[in-house]
Amino acid sequence: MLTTLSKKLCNREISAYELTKNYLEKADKLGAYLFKNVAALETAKRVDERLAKGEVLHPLAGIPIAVKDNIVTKDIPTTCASRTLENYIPPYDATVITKLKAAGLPILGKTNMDEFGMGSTGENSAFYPTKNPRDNTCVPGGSSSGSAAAVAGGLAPVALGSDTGGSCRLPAAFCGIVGFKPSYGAVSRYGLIAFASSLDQIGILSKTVSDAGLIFDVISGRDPRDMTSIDISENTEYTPKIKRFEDIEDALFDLALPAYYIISSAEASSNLARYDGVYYGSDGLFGDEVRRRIELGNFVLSAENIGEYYNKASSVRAALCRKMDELFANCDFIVMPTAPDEIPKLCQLANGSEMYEKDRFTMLANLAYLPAITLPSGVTIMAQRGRDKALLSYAREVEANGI
Amino acid sequence: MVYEAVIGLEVHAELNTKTKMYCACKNAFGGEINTRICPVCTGLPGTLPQLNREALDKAILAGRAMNCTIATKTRQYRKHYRYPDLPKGYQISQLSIPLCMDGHFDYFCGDTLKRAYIRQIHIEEDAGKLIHNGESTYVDYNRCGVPLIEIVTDPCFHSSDEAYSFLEAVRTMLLDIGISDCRMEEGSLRADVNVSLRKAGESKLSARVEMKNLATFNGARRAIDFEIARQRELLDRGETVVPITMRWDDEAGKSIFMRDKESAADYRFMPEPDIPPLKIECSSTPLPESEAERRCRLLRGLPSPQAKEIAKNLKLCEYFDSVSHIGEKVCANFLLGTVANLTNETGIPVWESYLTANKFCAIITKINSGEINTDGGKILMEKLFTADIGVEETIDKLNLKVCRDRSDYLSVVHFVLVNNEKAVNDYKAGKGNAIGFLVGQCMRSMSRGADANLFREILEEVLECL
Repeated sequence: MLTTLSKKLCNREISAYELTKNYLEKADKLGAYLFKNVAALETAKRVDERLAKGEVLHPLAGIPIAVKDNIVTKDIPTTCASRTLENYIPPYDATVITKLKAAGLPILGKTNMDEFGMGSTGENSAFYPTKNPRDNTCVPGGSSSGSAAAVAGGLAPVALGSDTGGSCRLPAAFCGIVGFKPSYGAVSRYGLIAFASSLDQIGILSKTVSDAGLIFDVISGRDPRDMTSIDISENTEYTPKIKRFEDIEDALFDLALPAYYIISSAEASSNLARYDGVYYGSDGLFGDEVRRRIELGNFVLSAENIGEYYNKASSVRAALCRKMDELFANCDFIVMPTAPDEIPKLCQLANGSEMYEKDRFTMLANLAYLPAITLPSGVTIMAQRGRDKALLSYAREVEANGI
Repeated sequence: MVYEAVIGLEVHAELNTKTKMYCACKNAFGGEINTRICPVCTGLPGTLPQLNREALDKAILAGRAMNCTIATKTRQYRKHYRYPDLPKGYQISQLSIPLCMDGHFDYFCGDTLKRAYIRQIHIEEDAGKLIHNGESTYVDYNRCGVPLIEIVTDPCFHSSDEAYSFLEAVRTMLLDIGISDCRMEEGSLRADVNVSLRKAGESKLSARVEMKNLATFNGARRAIDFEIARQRELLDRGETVVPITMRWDDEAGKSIFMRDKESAADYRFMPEPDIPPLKIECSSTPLPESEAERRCRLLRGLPSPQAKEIAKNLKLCEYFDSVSHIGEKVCANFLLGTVANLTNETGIPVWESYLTANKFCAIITKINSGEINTDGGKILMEKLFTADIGVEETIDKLNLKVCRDRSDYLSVVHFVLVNNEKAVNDYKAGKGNAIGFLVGQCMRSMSRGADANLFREILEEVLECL
């Protein structure tokens, strides 16, 4: 879709200004956006002017993009859908935003999400819930609920999300679009408001795999400001040798979900320690789910409990990584379901372990630092860390022809 | 009951890197508040640490200077606690696998060489500063993120003198290897102490009391003495020492209870996920000798007070080493006498003066050969310290050459003998000291360019004949 838009913009069939204006006009629908960025029209106008002069711009210049509200945007409110950051306007841009601006993509606005990334349904925003455009009675999935709904509902051609345990891929599956989580480190986390630092990655919600690949090319790359960022492999060769998840089921995977929640809560309790009321709102303004995770995190890191919980979870994680290395030594890709069962209805899931179960498959990729992509059919494909480009290639194949 | 004091120290030193530990803000002292800050060091949401390699290299130098094992891989940890000067709600520090471990550091306590055992040295970031103004408190984040090393010793000191001497030696070491400006009044060097008492001869450690907020080395000494006395009193009364943390009030001369160890905050240490484990390549840049090493070496040729004085300052010792082949004792005498006075007067150290090592040596050589006398040497040093002039030309200009014309000497001798009858009679009466007086009188009459020994010789000859 982006390629088509790009051609039309270059041929001056449509203007970036009109394109951006149309999206902005629809932005109030579905509870997808928390902030509409009217200044995007200026960016779009400038792209049109430069194209009129015959300048050769980045192929994606003028294509508007929606950004999840946990990615820092200079002078534009960034709230993580939390009352704590209700009035927070960052003084700097995330690295990915700097890259998008340099390529000339107007930032349409900031999308709704589960508060601080904690939630799998999109019902944990402190402000208002997001609707699933595919089925109004169902949840859109979370935590990148707004980004997924916006792309699925035609309110943005493409969107950035973030993925800590499945937060791009689950809503992509629920809304029927593509959700891509790059390898850990492939995209700079500088400017991504941290939930769980060793699990978070900025991801992409899009209509097609090719679109995800185009945006990935803009935002990926090692960043000196992010010491965990890596260079990914340029190698796009694969046989393909596929393994299905049912065939590799292992008792280890049963330990992975509790390990994921222990590690992510521990890191969340640490990352949210700064909301003490001095600079911005205090932790008195957190929602219940956030509070729950922080308490869990404090518990598993406490001196009496760290051995039993956090350290054990770290060992499980290390074992899981070794297991995935073994598997990928003998295959290119692993195919698996995204969600364990039906898309939940609105208000169906209570918070807590019932909801946590939804991440059962998706969080494996986060724990093991792997790239993973979800297709509109609901299937997820994973690859070895660093093989993002090969994964995107194969995913394009599967999108067109099935597995 | 005889007790043995057991003392351990934790020394924090700010590194003199160009920028802060995890961001590009300038590392400096003072200035307007909140002007050297950025999103990273103020812990704004979304920011990440970017390690300052210069800080790592300087910390490694400290580890090498203290004979530590330098880790090949080291990990950062988050240490969580809540305080307004700590914007992230945690400090990035180290826990297991610190940068440097298991070292030792030799230092002099009085005239005795002692060995301190270093448990570890690790890197961490400093917090901001709270400014109290009447009812309100403000935070200045300029200091937030400044690189620190923390030197943790074993409980290997047994007196406040030892602790004080060690702190002085550490300060000298940090200045010598050039990694900190060690200004305690600016907070770039701080110490916490741990003090416990046990019955003399026992090997087990007893409950220890931690003292914080020691702003000067003398304050540390006083705090330790106070605490030893306080604990001795308790133990003599049959009470037990409770492990607590105290704050030292130097003005009041006593310690104030801060918190007990049981209710001490659980820091919930967690490996820092934003910084991968660091692979360390240990440099092999040559390090200067430590102060103790210099002093031991100098003691082979100099008396203890002189060895101590020269060893104290690396640059002075280097200067001494470049001239001492001429004669250690004579060089030491001049450096610590005439030259030290010149430095006091002018504020210029000898290695920054015009008195180069070559000129210094030339002057001493001429004194040794008798070409000029000691007073002449002193005058030469004074002149050549503050002006870029030559030795020979100044000797000529000021007529400093010792003359040894016997007839000149004889005239002076006769003049002095005539005017000092009492001394002559004393000498004749057998008072040997009188000749010294007479030599002095002769020298005064011909102070420049006079040879005291020659005067003595001639005086003795003449007096014989009287």
